[in-house]
Amino acid sequence: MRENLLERMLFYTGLCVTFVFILAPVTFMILMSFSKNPDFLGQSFNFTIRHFYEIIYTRSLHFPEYLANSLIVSSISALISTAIAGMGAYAFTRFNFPGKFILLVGILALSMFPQISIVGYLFRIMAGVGLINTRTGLVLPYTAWVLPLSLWILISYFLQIPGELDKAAYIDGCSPLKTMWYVILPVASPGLFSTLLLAFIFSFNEFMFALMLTTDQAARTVPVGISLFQGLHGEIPWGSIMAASTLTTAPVVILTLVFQRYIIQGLTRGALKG
Amino acid sequence: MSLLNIVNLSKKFSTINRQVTALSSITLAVEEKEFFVLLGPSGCGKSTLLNLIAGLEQPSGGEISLGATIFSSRAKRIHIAPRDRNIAMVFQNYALYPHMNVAENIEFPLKIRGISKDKRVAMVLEAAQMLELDKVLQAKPGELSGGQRQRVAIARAIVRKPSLFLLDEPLSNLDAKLRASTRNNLKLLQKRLGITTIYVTHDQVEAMTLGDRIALLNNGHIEQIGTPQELYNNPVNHFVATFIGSPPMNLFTLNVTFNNNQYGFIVNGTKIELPDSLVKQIKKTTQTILLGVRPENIEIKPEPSKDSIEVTVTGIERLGRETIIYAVCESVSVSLISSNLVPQIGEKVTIVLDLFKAHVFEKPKSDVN
Repeated sequence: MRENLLERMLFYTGLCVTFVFILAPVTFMILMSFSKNPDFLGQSFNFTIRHFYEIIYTRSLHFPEYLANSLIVSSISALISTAIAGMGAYAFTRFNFPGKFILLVGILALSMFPQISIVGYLFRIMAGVGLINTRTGLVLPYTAWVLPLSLWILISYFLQIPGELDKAAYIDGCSPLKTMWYVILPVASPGLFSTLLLAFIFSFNEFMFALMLTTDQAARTVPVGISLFQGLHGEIPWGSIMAASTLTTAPVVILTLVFQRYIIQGLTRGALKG
Repeated sequence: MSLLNIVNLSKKFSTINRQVTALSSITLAVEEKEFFVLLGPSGCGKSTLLNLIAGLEQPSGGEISLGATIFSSRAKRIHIAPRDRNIAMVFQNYALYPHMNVAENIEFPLKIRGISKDKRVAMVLEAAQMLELDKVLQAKPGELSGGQRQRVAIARAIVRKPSLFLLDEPLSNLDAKLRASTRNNLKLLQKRLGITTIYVTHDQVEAMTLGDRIALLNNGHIEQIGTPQELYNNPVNHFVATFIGSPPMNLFTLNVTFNNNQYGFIVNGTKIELPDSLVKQIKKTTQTILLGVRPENIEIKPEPSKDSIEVTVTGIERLGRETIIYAVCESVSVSLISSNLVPQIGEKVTIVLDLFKAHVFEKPKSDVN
C-alpha cells in the first residue's frame, strides 16, 4: 500500500514537472500577448487584444505576408518531401537493389551536416539561378532538408506493414506500382499524415535558410520576420512579438488537433489475425 | 496430362555467409480438380514451394508449368509474374486490406483486372453468399471475427474463378471447433467449384481429411506422394510412418537374428518371429531394423501367451471413446490404444503386437530415433 502511494506520488510529481517544463513558456507567451504592459513579469495583468490588432493591421510590420509565406512554403515543402519519401520508403522496404544499405546510411549522413556549413553555398547557388527572395527559393532547400527525416520515418512505418499484404496484392493482379498505390500507401496513411505534419513543422520553424535567402516580405517567413520586429521600433516590442508568436503557433496546433485522429489510428488494424 | 507439373524444382536462399537449400529436386504433378496437400513439419520448405507456384519467388532450378503454359523455368529464363498466372491464394494471416470493407476486399482482384462495375457487383454478391458474408459486406476487416476474416480471404480468392487455388495454412489461426467446421466447408466448396487446390499444412489430421493426395515434405525434399490411405498403410520410410497418424507409430530398433530361414527377435525373454510378409522386405545383410507398429495394432491381453510381452504402464490419456496407454519395456517406450481394458499406472500388463500389420524400415544412417 505504501509503495503504491509512493509510486503514485512519484508519477504525478513527474507528470507535473514535465507539464510545467513544457507548458510554462507557452503560457508565458500567451499571457504576454494579451497583457497591456508585457515588459515585466509580476506587474498587474490587464487584458488587451491591442497587440494582435497591431501586428495584423500595421502595414509596415508585414506580419500577414510573412505568415502567408510561411504557410505556403511549409505546406508545399511538406507535400513534396512526403510524396518523394513515400515512394522512396516503398522502394527501400520492398525491393532489393545493390547499394541499398549504403544509400540509406548516406542519406542519414547527409542530413547530419549543420545548416550553417551549407548555407553559404546555398546562397550562391540560389543567387546564381535567380531564386533569392522567392518562395521557390525556399521550397527547394526545405524539401531537400526535410526529405531524409521524412524518408526515415516512413521507412520505419512501411516496415511494420506485413509483407503478406504485398503478396496478396501481387496475386490479386497488381503490379508493384499498383500495389503501392492501392494497398501500401492507404494502409500507411497514418504514417504519411504524421510525416506530413512533422515535415510541415520543421519547415515552418526553419530560421537559418530563410534568413539568408530572403530579403523582404516577398518571401520572408514568420520566424525571420518576428526576429526583425525589434529593429523597426528601436525598443523591443514584447507584446507584438508574443502576439505574433501566438498566432504562428496556432496553425501547428490546429493541424495537430485535426490530424491526431489519423495519427493515433491503428496502423494495420484488421489486416492480420490480431 | 495433369494440370500442374513441377519438374526437378530447387530453391536456394543466400544469406550473408552461407547458402541455404530450401527445396531440392521436387517433382510432382497435380491433376485437374484435385485437392492436393503439401504436408510437412515447420521449415520443411512447403510454404516456399507454394510461393514458387504462386510466382512470388523465383526457382533456382527446374520448371513449373500449368497446362501448356510454363510459369517458371530457370533454364528457359521464363518467369511469369503472379498477376498473370490467374491463381488465387489465401494466407495464414488472411492478409486482408485493412482500409477496405469486406465488399471492396472481395472486389479488389476484379477491379484491378478491369472487370465492369455491374459484373463486379454480381460476382462479389455471389461469392459473399457462398461464404455467408452477405450480412457484413460493409464492415471493415478490423470489425470481423477470426472466422469471418478467414471467409473473406477465401471469398476474395474464389471470386474471380482462378485456375489454381493456393492455401497457406489457412486454418491454423482458428480455434479447434471452428477449424473442424471450416475444414469441412472448405472441402465441400472445393468440390462444388471444382477448382484445383494446393493446400499447405503441418497438421496431419487436416491433410488426411482434406487431401485427395498428399505430398509429405521433409528437409526440402519429398518423402512420399500418395492418397491419405497409401501414406497411412504403406509408408515408404520411418519419417512418413511416424508423421502420419496420431499417436504416432511405435518404432522399435531391433537386432534381428537369422535362424532357420526365420527372422526373429528376443524381447524381455520372449522370442518373437517375424511373419514372412515382413521378412521379404529385409535385406539378408541387415542386422538392425526398425519395426513399426501402429498403436491400434497392439492389444492388451488378460492372459500371457507364447508371443506376449510384459510391459509397465507409465501414462494414461482418456479420450472418451478410447484410451491411449503409454508403457515401457526394458527402457523402450510403447504407446497403444485400448477401448475396453484400462489398467492403472504402474501396473504390469501383457501385450501382443499384430505383426501382420507391422512395417519394417531400414535404420537411418545418421539420426538416432
